[in-house]
Amino acid sequence: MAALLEVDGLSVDFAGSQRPIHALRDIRFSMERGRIVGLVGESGSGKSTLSLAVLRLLAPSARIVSGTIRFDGVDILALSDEAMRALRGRRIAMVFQDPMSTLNPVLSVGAQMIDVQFRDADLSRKQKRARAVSLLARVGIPDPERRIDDFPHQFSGGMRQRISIAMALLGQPDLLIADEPTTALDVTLEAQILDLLRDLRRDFAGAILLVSHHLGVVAEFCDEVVVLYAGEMVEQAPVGELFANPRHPYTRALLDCDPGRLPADARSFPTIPGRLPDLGAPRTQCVFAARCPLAIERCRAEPPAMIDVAPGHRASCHLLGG
Amino acid sequence: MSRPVTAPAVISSVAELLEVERLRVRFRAVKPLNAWLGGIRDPMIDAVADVSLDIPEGGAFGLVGESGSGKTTLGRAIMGLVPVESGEVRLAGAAFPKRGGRALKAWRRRIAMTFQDPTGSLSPRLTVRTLITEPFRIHGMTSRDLGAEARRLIALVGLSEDFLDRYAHELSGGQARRVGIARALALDPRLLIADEPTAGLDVSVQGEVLNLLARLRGELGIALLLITHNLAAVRLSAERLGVMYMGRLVETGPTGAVFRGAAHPYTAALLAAIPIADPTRHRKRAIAGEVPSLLHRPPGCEFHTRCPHAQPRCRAEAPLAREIATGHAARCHFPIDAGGSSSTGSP
Amino acid sequence: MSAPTFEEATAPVPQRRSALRHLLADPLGRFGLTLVLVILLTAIFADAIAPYNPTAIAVPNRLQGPSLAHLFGTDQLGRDVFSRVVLGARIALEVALVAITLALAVGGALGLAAGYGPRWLDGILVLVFDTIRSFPTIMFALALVTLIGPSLETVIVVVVATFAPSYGRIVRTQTQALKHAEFILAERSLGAGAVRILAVHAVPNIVGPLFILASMDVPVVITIEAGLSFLGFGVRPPTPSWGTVLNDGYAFIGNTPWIILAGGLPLVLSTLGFTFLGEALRDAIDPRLRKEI
Repeated sequence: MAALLEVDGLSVDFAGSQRPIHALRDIRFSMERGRIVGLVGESGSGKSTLSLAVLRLLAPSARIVSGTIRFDGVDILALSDEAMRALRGRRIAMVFQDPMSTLNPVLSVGAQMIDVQFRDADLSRKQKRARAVSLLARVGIPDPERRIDDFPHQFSGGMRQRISIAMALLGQPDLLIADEPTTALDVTLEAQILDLLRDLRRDFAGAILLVSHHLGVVAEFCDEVVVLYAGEMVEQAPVGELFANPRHPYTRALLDCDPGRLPADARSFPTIPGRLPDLGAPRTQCVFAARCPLAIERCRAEPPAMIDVAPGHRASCHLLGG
Repeated sequence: MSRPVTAPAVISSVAELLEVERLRVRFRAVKPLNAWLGGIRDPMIDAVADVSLDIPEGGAFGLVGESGSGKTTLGRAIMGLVPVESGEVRLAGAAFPKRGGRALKAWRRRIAMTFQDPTGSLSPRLTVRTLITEPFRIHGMTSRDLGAEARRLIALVGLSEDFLDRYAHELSGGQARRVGIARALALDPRLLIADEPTAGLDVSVQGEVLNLLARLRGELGIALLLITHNLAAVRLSAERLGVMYMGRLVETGPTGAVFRGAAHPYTAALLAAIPIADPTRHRKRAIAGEVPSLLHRPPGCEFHTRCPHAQPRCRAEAPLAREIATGHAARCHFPIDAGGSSSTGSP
Repeated sequence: MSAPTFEEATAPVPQRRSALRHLLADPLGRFGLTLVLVILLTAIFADAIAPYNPTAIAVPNRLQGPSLAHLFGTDQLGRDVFSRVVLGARIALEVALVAITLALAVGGALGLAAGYGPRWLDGILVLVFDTIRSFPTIMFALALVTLIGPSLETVIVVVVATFAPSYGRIVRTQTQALKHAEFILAERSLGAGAVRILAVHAVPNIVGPLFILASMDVPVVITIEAGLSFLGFGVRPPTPSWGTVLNDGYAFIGNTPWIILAGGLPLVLSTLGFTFLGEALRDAIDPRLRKEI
């Protein structure tokens, strides 16, 4: 059976003030049904661009330069707008960092949750409402029968995020894309949402693409991890393998910087010195070469290829033979 | 290679540099009409309620809390940017000047603050050079060579001189933060209040700001009040920390001690909530519920609505700060003991 | 300079790009600028441009239609209408510029005080603004004329009273928004006093949009002056203003339509010119409206 999501050679450019910015370069990965994949990267990595590209919600100034995205065998980039709309919300759903982007402030939560089910012609309004209430209960909204008629601003930030998740799940999507769902929340609320997502996993058969800048979030929750840096994929591995044997120098450095992993005798905070490379320049070297503590001549002369270093584990680094 | 953080030699003064005593900051949260309509008896909220803390000369204190805990308000109250309802703030023994004017201006030479929004805290139409030399002009010190001062300050925070001609919107978040720090240090303050210095920064560069603050502490002997929701940042940046919940300090103590054994269940919950970058270790379940509204404070211990060890006494009686060990105190009837179990006897 | 980060590269273009260039690229902007320049130059060099003395009476030549000698014909007293219109431009602009500047100064100062100062001051000032604004302009003018008689000064006072409250309100709102801006808080924390904050940090950030708004009010003021003069509350004869020309033209419309056309045309052109220019300026200066990223 074909993978649920196949991204092959995807490159996306943004129109810049002087020349195009290469937000994504030659991204290649696939997701199987029911798997949870974590997409990890910092600012400028292109992770949000990738998740928006899958939903074809990129800004007009973005251009898909090359590559394909296949969802369940269908080429998404070739679909008509109408066909894409049919997919969104139904088979591919998204939860954003800011729940207010998903929720309409002038409609009650109930109205929105019923509206989202508009394609279920065989369900009566009452039934749709009942489904919505039960989902709200499932995501931990107290007193859902009464609160379903409240407006988004009457809920706290954490609750709004739960509602966004409930709305995303209403369509019973095959793929749920969660773009930094906990970044805007305090740490105790973040923990609650992560616990919720872990709980929901039991009942939710779909695949989840979790985009985050935080390795800890990804470790809690994902089966597999893809690491992005400056628009390129640098490593992909099953989660246990990635954290136990990170092979790409960026992944290793990123792990070292994680505050949770500070050794007890640390005297200062580890950082990755330097800055992102020029995203407008053509790709003539390894994207991480300028900041890599292990860089050799070859790293600055040619970009490495992605190679297999273990079963299911790929990385692009010359030092690994790439 | 990582540079070690060195605490400065303690200056011989015995008195603390900053003393905050039973500080209370009130705000009107609801307009009187709406309060009457909504049946809310008291429209005032205590953003900061009865907070006391000390920072020694050259010392560092980490003030930790989530949104709404009042930590930012406390920082602003110390600066005199928000009016204080009751309580006292003393700097090197001198009380906060209530009548404003010149005394207040002098106060603001000795304490400086950096703000959460790095670019937003920089006046949009001024160059970096003008921004960081503002303090000299404000305090009438224009006889100094401002050009030289600008160069000194920008180098102090590790930025090159090209940055002096840039405008705020031409700086990245990390650069803007450094400019804010440079400006704060212009007049050699004794205390720097850093409000969320790592907010919005990538993990791989958060260390840059924190290491910079540590270096400045070492070089200048400046004291630091670090306000953050990022507990991990406090671990290496401050010797003491305080945890705030709903405007109150629920636990204070030496950083190491608190991390090794949090006494207050809320602190324990905060520590437990940090996601662990290790898939083989499973985080404990998060605590339930959300922070209650400041308009309707729970009776007794305000944390009892969410506390996994809550007992009837917690609902009935507000706990006082009780000392667990030297310099380590918590506001809890049943603090968690050294073994990590609740002293209620429940698991 | 090091390579830009992703955010820097996709951030809006810094304002250092010439706003003038953007203005000139916009066809309506070019049109507006041209019209305004024509009117400005006419006003400045009015004495040189006007072929006749605008107050020179020559009754035998009265009410003649346009000819080579008199481009817009003559009015009921034989005065050259073209010369009157040309001098009228000077009056129009004088009134407009003086009145608007005064209105900006008064309204702006009060607005700053209302926006930044204590609540009670704000309350009083808003009351003052709204009370003055609720008077219809004509009624106000009538009252003023009764008190101090009709004149150019009367017109200016009427205009200031009409516009100062609006400017005050705008400045107040902007100042209030800025009051809580993080950079203002930062300046306060450094010890800056209210005066410094307003002068160095608030005003420069308010002045730009305000200036553009005010420039779009120029045609309105010109029209008010023309209207008041038409009604006899403003400029007294024989001083030529577009309003008095219109008045004459209206009275003698049965004899010749040219006088009214001559008086109305410059009003239309100035309104078009300043409005287009103002809008193009606003688009040129506001980076969010730029079409490129």
